[in-house]
Amino acid sequence: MPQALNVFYRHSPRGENELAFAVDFLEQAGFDRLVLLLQEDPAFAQVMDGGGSEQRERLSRSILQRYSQISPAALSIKGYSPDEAHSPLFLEPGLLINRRPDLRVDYPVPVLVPCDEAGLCQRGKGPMLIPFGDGVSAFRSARVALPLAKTLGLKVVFYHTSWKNSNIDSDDPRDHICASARRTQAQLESDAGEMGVVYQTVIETTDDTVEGIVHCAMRFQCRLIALAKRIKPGIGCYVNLALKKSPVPLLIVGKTQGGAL
Amino acid sequence: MNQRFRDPIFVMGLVALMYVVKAVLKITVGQMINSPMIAGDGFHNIADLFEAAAVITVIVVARRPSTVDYPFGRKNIEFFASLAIGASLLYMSFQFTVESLVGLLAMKPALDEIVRGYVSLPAYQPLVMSTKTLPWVLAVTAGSTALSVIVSRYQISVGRSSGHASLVADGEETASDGRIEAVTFVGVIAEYLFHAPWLEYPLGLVVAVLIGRTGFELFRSAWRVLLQHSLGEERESKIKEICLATPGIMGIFKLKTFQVGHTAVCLIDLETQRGHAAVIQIQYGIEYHLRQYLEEEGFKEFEFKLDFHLPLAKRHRVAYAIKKVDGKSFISPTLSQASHIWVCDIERGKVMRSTEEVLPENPLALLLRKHAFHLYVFDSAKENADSLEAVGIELHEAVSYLPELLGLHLEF
Repeated sequence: MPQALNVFYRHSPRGENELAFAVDFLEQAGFDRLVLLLQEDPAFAQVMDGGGSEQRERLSRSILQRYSQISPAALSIKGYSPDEAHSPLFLEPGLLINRRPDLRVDYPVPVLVPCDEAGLCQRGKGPMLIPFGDGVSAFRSARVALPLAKTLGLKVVFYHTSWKNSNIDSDDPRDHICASARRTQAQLESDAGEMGVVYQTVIETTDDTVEGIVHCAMRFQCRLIALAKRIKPGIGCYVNLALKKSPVPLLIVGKTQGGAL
Repeated sequence: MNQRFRDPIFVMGLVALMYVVKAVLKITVGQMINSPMIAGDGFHNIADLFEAAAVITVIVVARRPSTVDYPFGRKNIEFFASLAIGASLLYMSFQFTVESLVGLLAMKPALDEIVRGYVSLPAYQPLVMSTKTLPWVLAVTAGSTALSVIVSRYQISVGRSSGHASLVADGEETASDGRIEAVTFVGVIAEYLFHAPWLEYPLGLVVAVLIGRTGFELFRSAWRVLLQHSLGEERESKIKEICLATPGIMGIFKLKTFQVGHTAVCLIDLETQRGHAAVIQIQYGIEYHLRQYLEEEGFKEFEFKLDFHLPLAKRHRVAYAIKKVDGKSFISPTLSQASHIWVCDIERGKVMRSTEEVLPENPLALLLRKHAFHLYVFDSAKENADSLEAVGIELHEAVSYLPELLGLHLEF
């Protein structure tokens, strides 16, 4: 199945960042093509004959000139109307690169947030961090992240932070991990092993989950953190907090995603 | 190992005891065999005893905790001691060089006389020794050498692990003493076995160079710390590398490093465009890796001051020719087709402020009055670029006809 990297075109620092990251990632992760999503408005036909079809050609020309590593066949421009902007069902299977995803929107593909980085491994290779809790959400993120790590040749760090159990007299965080999280850990490690992905697991007892995740990513010089949106309703979410706090790019897997890329 | 054996004061106490033993033995044996060289070395050890007391005082002062008046503590006092010991080693090296040259010259009396005609040199003091006194001399010189070697290693090891530069410097001096004693020992053996006491002197020159080098290193490193020399080009380049490897960092505006005692101080101005919440994490990452690196480099404590700044603003003003149709705004194909002009202030590539002007009769006059020297239209091929250029306005082709795709949608 062909895999596309979807990027919304914006002529702004944000758009430039997304585009640069996408071009870099396209090469490294072996995606088939870059799909540039370009908003169009038929009303422009009243201003100019041809309705602004030049916009696509101009954009395509400009990008191929700036990024010589992209072949014309690997670049496609897909138009969408202003009405479609808030329900992006027109995205092609693969990934969406978006610096500020709207977490209220259920994107049909996982979202890769560059967090201002110009490329995934431009600062050197580093592992991918997959945090897990006591639920199943980590399986969704791992289903996307592990194949990606394999393709990119990155190691994986599984990360879990647990509340300290006051009934257990031990300073070793591994003694405080609950049974369901232990099962999740075993399953994730088994999946990584089966795929031939080199991994290590870090267990901590921190009082701030997101800070623990980001600190671990900074210590290990991780290049990507894979997180899944939670399924249960509630107030606030780790993904949203991570978007604010993380300088490391994030891979966000939605509620209904999780198929391997 | 018992904590007490790693305590710098305890170590210096042992060193002082060693000097007492050495001084007593050397003065006694020196007088017994009528050797001013050995006896003189014994008196030198009495002077070393005072130096050991000075080092103990320095360590006591350096250990005092930091206060409001001394925010970095008083650790730099150790480097005053290092500076003094470095200087004394340089002097010792000079003195030993002269003594060895005098010994070599004594082998050639004619040459000695000529040289002494030009330079004032100390008198040559040959070793006075008999078969009866030989075991005493050998025991004192060999024992003294062994003691110096063992104690110096002990001092340097404890000094490095506890971060006391004065203890390391004193250990280096003890090691130098040991080298000199070893040369004396070789001289004694050479005299006894081959009747060739001159062998001591070329060896003495080599040892003098080693002592001089140690003295220079101690003096230079103390000088650099006291005058707040940077941590060095190699370390600074590694520090920059660590910063630039951290996600979120776009560049380094300024880097200043220096050393206070065994504390590495880094003042770094960094470029980032991330917000406060992310900057805290970036700071954590940089400090974590800097600490690891500087620890490997032998520093015991760290003081980091990281300041984060936005990239340079690169402010400028641009104008867009706008055509409004049914309440919607589009980038106009040409200026003549436009109904409005949007004048936008750009900062870091973003539109920070903008105003809308109805297209006047003379739009060029408006652009010049507004200092908007860059005009964007959608179809630049149809625009009269020459007339714009004639008044100093540069024509650009907008990539899109939709203002929102150009970062303009929120401003109106």
